[in-house]
Amino acid sequence: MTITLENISKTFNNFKALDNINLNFEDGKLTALLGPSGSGKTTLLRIVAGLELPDQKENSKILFNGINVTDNAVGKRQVGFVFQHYALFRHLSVFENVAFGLKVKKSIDRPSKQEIHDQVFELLRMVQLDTMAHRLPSQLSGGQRQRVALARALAIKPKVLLLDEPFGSLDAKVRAELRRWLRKLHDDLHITSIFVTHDQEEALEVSDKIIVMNQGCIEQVGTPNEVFHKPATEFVMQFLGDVNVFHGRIDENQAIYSGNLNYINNISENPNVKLLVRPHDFDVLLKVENEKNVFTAKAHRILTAGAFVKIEFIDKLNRLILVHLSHDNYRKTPVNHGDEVFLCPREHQLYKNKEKKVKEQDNRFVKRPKKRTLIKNFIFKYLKKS
Amino acid sequence: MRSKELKRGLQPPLIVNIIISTVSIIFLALFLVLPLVVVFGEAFRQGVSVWWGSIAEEESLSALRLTLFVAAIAVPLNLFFGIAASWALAKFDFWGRNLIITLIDLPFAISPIISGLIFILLFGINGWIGPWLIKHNIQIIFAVPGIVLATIFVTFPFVARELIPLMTEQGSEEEQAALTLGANGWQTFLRITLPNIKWGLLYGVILCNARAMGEFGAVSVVSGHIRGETNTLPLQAEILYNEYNFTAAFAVASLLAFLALVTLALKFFVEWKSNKLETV
Amino acid sequence: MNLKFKKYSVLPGFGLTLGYTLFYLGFIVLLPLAALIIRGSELGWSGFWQVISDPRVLASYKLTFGTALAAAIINTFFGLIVAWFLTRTHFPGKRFIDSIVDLPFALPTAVSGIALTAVYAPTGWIGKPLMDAGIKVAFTPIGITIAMIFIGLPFVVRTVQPALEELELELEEVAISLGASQWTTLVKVILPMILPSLITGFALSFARAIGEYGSVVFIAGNMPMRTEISSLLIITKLEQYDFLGATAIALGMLIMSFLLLFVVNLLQSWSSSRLKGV
Repeated sequence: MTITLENISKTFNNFKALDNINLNFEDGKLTALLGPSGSGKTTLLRIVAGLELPDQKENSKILFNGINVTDNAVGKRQVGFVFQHYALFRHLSVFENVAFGLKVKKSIDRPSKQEIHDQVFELLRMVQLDTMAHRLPSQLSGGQRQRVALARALAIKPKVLLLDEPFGSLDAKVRAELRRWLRKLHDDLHITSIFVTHDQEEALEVSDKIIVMNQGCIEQVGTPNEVFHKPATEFVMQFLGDVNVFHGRIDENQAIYSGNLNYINNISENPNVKLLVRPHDFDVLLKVENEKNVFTAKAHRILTAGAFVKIEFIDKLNRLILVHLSHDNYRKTPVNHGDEVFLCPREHQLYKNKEKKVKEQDNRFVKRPKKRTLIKNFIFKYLKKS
Repeated sequence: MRSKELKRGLQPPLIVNIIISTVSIIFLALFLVLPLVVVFGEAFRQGVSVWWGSIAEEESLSALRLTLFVAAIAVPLNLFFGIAASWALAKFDFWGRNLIITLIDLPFAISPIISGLIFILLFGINGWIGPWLIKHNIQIIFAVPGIVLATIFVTFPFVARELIPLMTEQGSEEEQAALTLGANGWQTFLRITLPNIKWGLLYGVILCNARAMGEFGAVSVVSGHIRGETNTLPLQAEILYNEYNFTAAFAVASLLAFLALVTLALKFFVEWKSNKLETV
Repeated sequence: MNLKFKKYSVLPGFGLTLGYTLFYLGFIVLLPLAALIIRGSELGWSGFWQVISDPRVLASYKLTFGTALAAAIINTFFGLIVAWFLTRTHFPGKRFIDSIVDLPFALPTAVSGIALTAVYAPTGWIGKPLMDAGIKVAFTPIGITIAMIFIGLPFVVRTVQPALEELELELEEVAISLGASQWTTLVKVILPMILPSLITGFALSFARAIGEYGSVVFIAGNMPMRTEISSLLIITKLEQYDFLGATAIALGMLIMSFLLLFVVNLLQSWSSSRLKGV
């Protein structure tokens, strides 16, 4: 099922959580909504589910397979929703939790007892919990609870599966395992799925498509490859891993950076720019023939324990530069503490220096609370619920 | 090697602990336990048969019947109200929510005598509705309806104030989950909310019932003390006491004290049950 | 402004339950209270003042608020000790003692009233030895205070106890590791942390004592000007069919207790906001 969102906004009191979102989720794909906390990703997911209403606007619409479901109640949308903290029914056994969606159906649609039993056990086998059907949620581990929540959501044969931070409250190892398992499950079932995460690694690893969100807006939509290698905005670049930032000015169609970095570029209207380079996109050279596009820096700290070598350099302007080298390359150019070497960015991204960004952030608060007198404040807080 | 468990936090010297424990136990014994012991001691001073004789008197029995009758009306009404109020106030966020919660607590802040007085001002001879009631030959004050109303008023907050914090703390995620699975409002309430709050509900009902059966001040104002008609058990104990019929007064009081002990035991049981559920 | 009356929720039944809540609240609580206020206002300011400033009424106010204050202070002190005893010491049968604290909640006030009188009357179990020592308890303000201590103690214990339980032991360990003595840790670290709940407990026990009738009236002796509490005076006025007088005394009590509660509430939110930094 495809899901289309048109002109969706959401305002909480004076806070703009979502700012005119237009999106299309493709049929059968696993899409990640990626962003920092407060970016509006969970709100968006809840709006798709019908757990939250978008701001009432004439042109705002939610379409499932082209059919407008904006006014459909949550129970009628047939979505499977997996809550961040699972929201398992704590007084019901694993079996009863999964069976719930089937048992509350109207008597005409309700499967027979035997059918419910069979369907639930089929699901429990799928999530590898058939031996724990009689346990209460409190007797399960975090990963097992997560799987019960998933089985419960799948029991109503949803047209779309929505997961809110599905691995958020699990420890690292279980998380990695469940991640692979979820991907495999999706490959088997091919149900249109959307999941919310703030972990870029998780999004890059699991999803077919990533939607990067920030401050209620969409920064970029693309495959994991596109988002990682061709970040559309500075935010996306910064959010998807470590970056080194170089501030510079454009002079006669050339960007000139401190040190000897010169790049041709075709931005002319704004002289202030930023050059972003990922740590693994540097070449470390012991000597160069021509000092173009390289700059010198001194090795300050070298960490060799790990999958790659991490080196912290300090350049002449006292900036800290992070460089990641493969062990192979490190062997070719062995750098010791205190050595002065040449750094050459292989790849970079150039962004206009947007000062607007800061202002936008402030604009999200339409009106700031005024200073009030002690008593007024007291009464206000009292009435409004803290 | 024997491992000694390291105690955490402040470790006052032993002597301080002993002083604190002694003071606490003496204070509790003197102020709380002794009066309870006295009630039973005085009630059975002249033997069980005298005690039974005082209870089995027609006036005492009718007081017992009235007490049970009043509780049987007041408790279910306040239970129903408590559930409705906690649903509206705990599951939803709206303007003025805190104000309503404070208003629900009002009867706790008001002296029982004033709680009785307000019904006299409303339904008494000189009250707002009094003349109309007289004309239609309806008696509320100095009759059972007044006692019921006053009891409802003083026991009004018990269930609600137990459930509101509980349901607020539990949040509404489980209910939302039930709705995404296709359950309707009633199914969600009966199958999800009610099982989650049952111990808190029982707790509130126990406290509400104890107060309903034991209320003295408010009922005393509206009852009129008509023997065999508008006397509840606490009022009966008062009358007997004021007539210097101490043994009978304490016999009636021992019934109420027994009710208090049952209440405490039930409370203990419910706390133990709900703690057990939480810690598993 | 985009302020809405209610935040959206998918859960049904808001209108129905809130409507019923408001109806029941209005009928059972607000309507009768409105009667009190409106009937009271019929007196007018001067009439109200006339009733209130009657020496007998003033004496009853002084007695009620004075003994209630004394009882609340004693309860705050001993309540803190009992709460500490229940949270910080471990011994068999602790849960049993813990539930005894609730006895005054569960025991009907009339029963506690006649029981306390039997204990503290000049012929009673404790009253006799005290009488021999020259201290008369029952039928004096001391007796009234004792009844108010009985009724108010659980309020202090039950508000301070959770605060003590939730206190992080790390805080005390940090204080001690920094070289503070046990006493300094108690006074400078623990007490300020539980101050808000201590204030709340004080206020609750104070308020309860002001309004208490059943457990006080038997032990009080009820001598006009000397041991007559305001609640009893209201009843006396009612028995004389002086409804307006009773209403005025009741209003005076209500106004004073609400003012007190409001001040304590402010104090309490000030001391807890200092801790939470809100």
